[in-house]
Amino acid sequence: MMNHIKPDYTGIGLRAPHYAQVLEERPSLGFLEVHSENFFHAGGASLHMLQRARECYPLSLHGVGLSLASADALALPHLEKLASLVERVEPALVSEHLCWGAIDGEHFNDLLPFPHTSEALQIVTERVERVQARLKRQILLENLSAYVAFRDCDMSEFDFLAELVRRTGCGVLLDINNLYVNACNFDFDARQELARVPWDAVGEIHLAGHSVGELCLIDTHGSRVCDEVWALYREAVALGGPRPTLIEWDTDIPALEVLRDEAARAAAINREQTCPA
Amino acid sequence: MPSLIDVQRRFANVLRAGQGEADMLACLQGDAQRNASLLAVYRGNAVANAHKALQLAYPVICQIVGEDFFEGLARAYRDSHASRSGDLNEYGADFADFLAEFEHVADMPYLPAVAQLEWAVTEAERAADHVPLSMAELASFAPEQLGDLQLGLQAAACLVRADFPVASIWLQHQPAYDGALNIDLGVAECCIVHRIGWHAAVLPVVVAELAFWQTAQSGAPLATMLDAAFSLDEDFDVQTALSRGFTAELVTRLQLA
Repeated sequence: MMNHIKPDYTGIGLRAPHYAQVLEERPSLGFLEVHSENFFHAGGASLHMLQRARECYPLSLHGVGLSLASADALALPHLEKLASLVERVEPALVSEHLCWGAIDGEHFNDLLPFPHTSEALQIVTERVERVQARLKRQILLENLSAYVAFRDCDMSEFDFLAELVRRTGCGVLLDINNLYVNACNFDFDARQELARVPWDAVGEIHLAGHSVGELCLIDTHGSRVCDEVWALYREAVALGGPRPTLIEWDTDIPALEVLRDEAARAAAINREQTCPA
Repeated sequence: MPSLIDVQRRFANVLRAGQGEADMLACLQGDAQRNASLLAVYRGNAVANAHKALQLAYPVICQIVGEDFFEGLARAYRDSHASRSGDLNEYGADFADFLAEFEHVADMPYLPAVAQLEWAVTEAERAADHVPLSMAELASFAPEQLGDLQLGLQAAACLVRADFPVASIWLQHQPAYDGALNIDLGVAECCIVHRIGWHAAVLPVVVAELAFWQTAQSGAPLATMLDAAFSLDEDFDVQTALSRGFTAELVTRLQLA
């Protein structure tokens, strides 16, 4: 079973409408990524699908519910389910979001922003250390897309991530679309922010589409990657070198061919850096 | 800057019910009016996520009450039953209890029972996988051993006894059902939620048959299963009950007590 994702591999987020087709056609893709929580159960068709997919592709488990930046205690039952799944499918990559989603036991099942303060850094550091100790492996943390910004932050998101990397040895999942969405929403230069990325720790890149709302860009994962994000991606790969890159699509999911097409486009850019002309 | 827990509690108040907005706005950078609208985007997401999760788990309830009314139900449910897990697949477990107490659906007293059945179906879909035994395997035991034989059931099996015709309602609201609706709301029904291969299914059973399999699930041997069934129906047809049970892949273990 292949269990390594080479830096120039590209993959897609595997969602329910494509389960059967991917298993049947086995398209040429570098890896598949799924949301960890959708496979937390004891058995059933979805988990069976994932185990079959794992026989043909390296997997990336992408969590949406661990709420690492919550002031609440770490949800140990959630972590245990993740640990069982990791044991079961032996993924090549495990990632979570740099966000919170629950407080006082109440979950909002969303990826929520928080102020990047020293206090938060201490809390997230402790959580990441516990998760990595339990899973006995490194996890990647993804930069978030946000619609509101906090008044009193001690550092930028990427400075926060870099410090987290230094303290815990975790990796970074660099979401180029999230970076672009935030740059537009909060009026900063995404290119300058790329300079703060701790490149050695970047283990994966995400690309996705967003929608343009009345007040801000919304991270919908419901369309093709826009030109500006492709340009930013090219710049990121030029700066940090090729990285396993994933096309995410979660709403209005199109035909599998569209996702493969986007993945091929990413592969071409990724390869420009691997094999300079 | 307020502490992390304080910021998150302020944010939660806004997400929960749009309360205490001023406290949250005080933490944010930029124009307050614009930020208020942006917080509404987050609140809308939270409501929409909960609605979508509930719709996935309760497609029959949604068909019965209609999509618009269901959306209202989802909002009211979320207001009184917060999500308690980072896994949205767990959301909605108490929906039947909520419906039983929600006055606006009091004229549909069968809804809570239907919801209970739908949650059992949702749970069956993700229960541990099973390897079914065939009825022929009963023949490997000597006739005098059969009374002591324990029949272990698949993990997904959920035995349901309702005051309403829940099995008929569920079966007649499946996408593949193309007949006319034929439901007598005055009839009480029993059924067994189970899995055939990867698919959850609902098997309508009579009361004695339910008691038969309930006794098996409690760990008692075949002799006790028969006592339970015959005490309810002296004409209980063992052969048919066993055959239906094995066909439904219910039995996954045979073991002498």
